[in-house]
Amino acid sequence: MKKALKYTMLLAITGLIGLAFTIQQKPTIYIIGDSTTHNTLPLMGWGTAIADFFDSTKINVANHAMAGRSTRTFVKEGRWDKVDSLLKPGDYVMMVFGHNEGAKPGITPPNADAAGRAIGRGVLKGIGEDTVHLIYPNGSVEIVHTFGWYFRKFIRDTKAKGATPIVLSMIPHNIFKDGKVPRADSNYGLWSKQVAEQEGVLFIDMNNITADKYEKWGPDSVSKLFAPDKTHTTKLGATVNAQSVVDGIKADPKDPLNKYILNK
Amino acid sequence: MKKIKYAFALLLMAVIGLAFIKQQKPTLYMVGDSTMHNDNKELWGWGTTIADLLDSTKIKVVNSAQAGRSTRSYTREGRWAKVAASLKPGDYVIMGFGHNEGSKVDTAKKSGDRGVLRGTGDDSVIVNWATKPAEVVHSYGWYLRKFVREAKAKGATPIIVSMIPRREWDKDGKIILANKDYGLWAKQVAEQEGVAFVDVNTITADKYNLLTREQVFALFGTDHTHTNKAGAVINAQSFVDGLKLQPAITLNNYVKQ
Repeated sequence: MKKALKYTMLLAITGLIGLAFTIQQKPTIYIIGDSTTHNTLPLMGWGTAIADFFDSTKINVANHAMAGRSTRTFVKEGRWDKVDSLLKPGDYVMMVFGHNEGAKPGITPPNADAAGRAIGRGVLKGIGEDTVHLIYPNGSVEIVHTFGWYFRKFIRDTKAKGATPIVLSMIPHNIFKDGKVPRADSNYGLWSKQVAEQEGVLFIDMNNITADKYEKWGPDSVSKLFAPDKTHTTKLGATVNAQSVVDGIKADPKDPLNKYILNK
Repeated sequence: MKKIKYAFALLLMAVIGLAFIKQQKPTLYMVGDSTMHNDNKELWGWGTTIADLLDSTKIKVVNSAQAGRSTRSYTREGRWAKVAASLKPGDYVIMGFGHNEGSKVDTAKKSGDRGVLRGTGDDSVIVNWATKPAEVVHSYGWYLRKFVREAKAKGATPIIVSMIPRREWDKDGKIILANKDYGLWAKQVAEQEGVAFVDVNTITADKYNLLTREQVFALFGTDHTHTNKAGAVINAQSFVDGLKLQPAITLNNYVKQ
């Protein structure tokens, strides 16, 4: 009798300790994207800069974006599988692509290297279910989907793990045409938004929020946020875009990330 | 002084000898059927196209596969014995069979001379030919074990592969795998004997499943078994894909780049 009581107590204590650990486990925001989200100094992506905007005692930020990747190559290289394998219920995944998607999929250079190996990263345009089936000269085989198809995969896999997907539109380029910053609202930004709507998930329009700022500031100020090219941001540019993401979160009271933002 | 001269001469000879040893490239022998070696006109085997994926400055490829052969007829005709006799330490043997094993062991039928017993057991039957000497027929696994053990005895490295898939789909639209018969038995023998196994059957089937039926048809000749050059290229690449998943297999050192 006494022994049984002891065991019960021991079990209860073990259970309580376990529960305490579970509760203490902070959620994580995983971020996936390209070089505009993750880069190497002196360049920086917004996915790195955004960590400073969140309360690190309450949430982790894990930037898994990789320079040069498209939705297609992020999947093909197993990078998405890695993130997917880490997801726990209550986590978040911020997803943004668009800078490396544009090449037409094919089996000749630049889609294949000199040995005929697959190095293509471009996807099919839009959000449809159309596919292209490629047989490369070296005998490897690949199926390529639309931009939207890859996002649907990220979204559905994330949901299946009990995590919350958040789709973003790509950062704008350092380009001014007659004082206006061209928007991504007729291609990748649009398709990102459309997929988010179809799947009923959060969308943050980083592209338009940042572009509005750029237009206010003008080309001279904006060029200070960029590398000597039109695409890649410095730490300052990364912080501006991270601020735009936070602006987007704050503008939507339903966004659960509001409770993790530091009140500066 | 004379002693030093002798020492120098010895050293020189040793260096020259070493140079010769180093220059001797290992050979990769391909042992299999028509899906490994064909006429190289309309139809190609992957035992031929594999040479393009390996560094020819470091390894030589000899395609000893022969159309129409099973493990049994390959052995009976002395083809295996010829490969075994050529093996040097450091060589490799890729062995893949399965397309010609299934015929009934029967002296009355034309194809009765190539069928084997199913599975990997040690059972055997004696076939009494009317005009030829009696023949003991073993299981598929028995023949593979023979190849493996004799290759090892010569200091060579055997690698067993599963047969390439046919262009046949199941009712769900997936390529039919050989994972219940010859592919499975090939894997089992590899595990039993502790040698490498590359599942070309599954790797290529996964690729075909990413393609349209028209695209898959375009990789074959007129039947569902024999590949054209494009199909042979895919299967050779599948072997290399599978090889790369097992870095411990030293043949990886000879893959281009």
